[in-house]
Amino acid sequence: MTQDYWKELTDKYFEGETSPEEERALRGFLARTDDPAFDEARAVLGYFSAQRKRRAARAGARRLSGLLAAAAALAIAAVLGHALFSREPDTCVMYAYGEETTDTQYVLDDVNNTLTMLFGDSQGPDVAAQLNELFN
Amino acid sequence: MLPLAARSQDGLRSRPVFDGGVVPKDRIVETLVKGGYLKDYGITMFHSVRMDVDEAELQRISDLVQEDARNAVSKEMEISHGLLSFALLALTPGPDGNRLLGFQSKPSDDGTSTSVILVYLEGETSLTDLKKSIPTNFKLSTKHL
Repeated sequence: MTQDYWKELTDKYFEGETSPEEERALRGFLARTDDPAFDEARAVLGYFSAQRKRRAARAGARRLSGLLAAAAALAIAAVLGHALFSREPDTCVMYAYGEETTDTQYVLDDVNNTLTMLFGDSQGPDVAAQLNELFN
Repeated sequence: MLPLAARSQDGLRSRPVFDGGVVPKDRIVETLVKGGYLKDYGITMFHSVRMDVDEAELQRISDLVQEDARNAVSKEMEISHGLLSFALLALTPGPDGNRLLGFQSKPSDDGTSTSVILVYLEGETSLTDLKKSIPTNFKLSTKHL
């Protein structure tokens, strides 16, 4: 193909009348030639080519960040779900001679009484009983 | 009635007392509290059984608690006439923190039976912490939930 053909094709390109095949062919030619007559076309086509690459890279990055965000969301959901469902629910119940009581204050009073009996001031063996045992 | 003993009580010699294996459950007052209700005491689980027992039952419970005492990290015990009357045991810690066992027996006024209480506790607290905090600590209440 002659230089004239490429010049015509370049003009056609700037007029926006090239087909994708012609544009591809022109880009191939511009990559091979050093002719300064095509510098302007090379610069424009190179710019758009670089833009396309950047857009493709940005789209790839967006896809990747989208995937990462989805993975992070899944991980957070998994951690929260595990925390929620693996945690034992609070329980407060008493069975008195086979009868169930779930009155929280009543049950907690029982807890208080028991803890006070074991750990409070009245804890330990009955001193009077011990003295009685020692001296009788 | 559901079995209330936790998996962490599996290794306890005294577990049958909680499960109704020594005294039937229809003669027991059983209390189970777990979770945020107990946070003021540093406890995550409170499981107690209270009952009136005859001499043979008292002997059996006393023996089981004394067997647990053999493996305890620390213990305070009072034995009268070969029978345990009081015990505070710090058992080997489990995955959910310290494991404590408390026992107290008191003869009834007419001397025909003995009132027994056995408590299993789990949490960050220790016997020392509980002894310090309980006489002065405010009482657990739904207001603190």
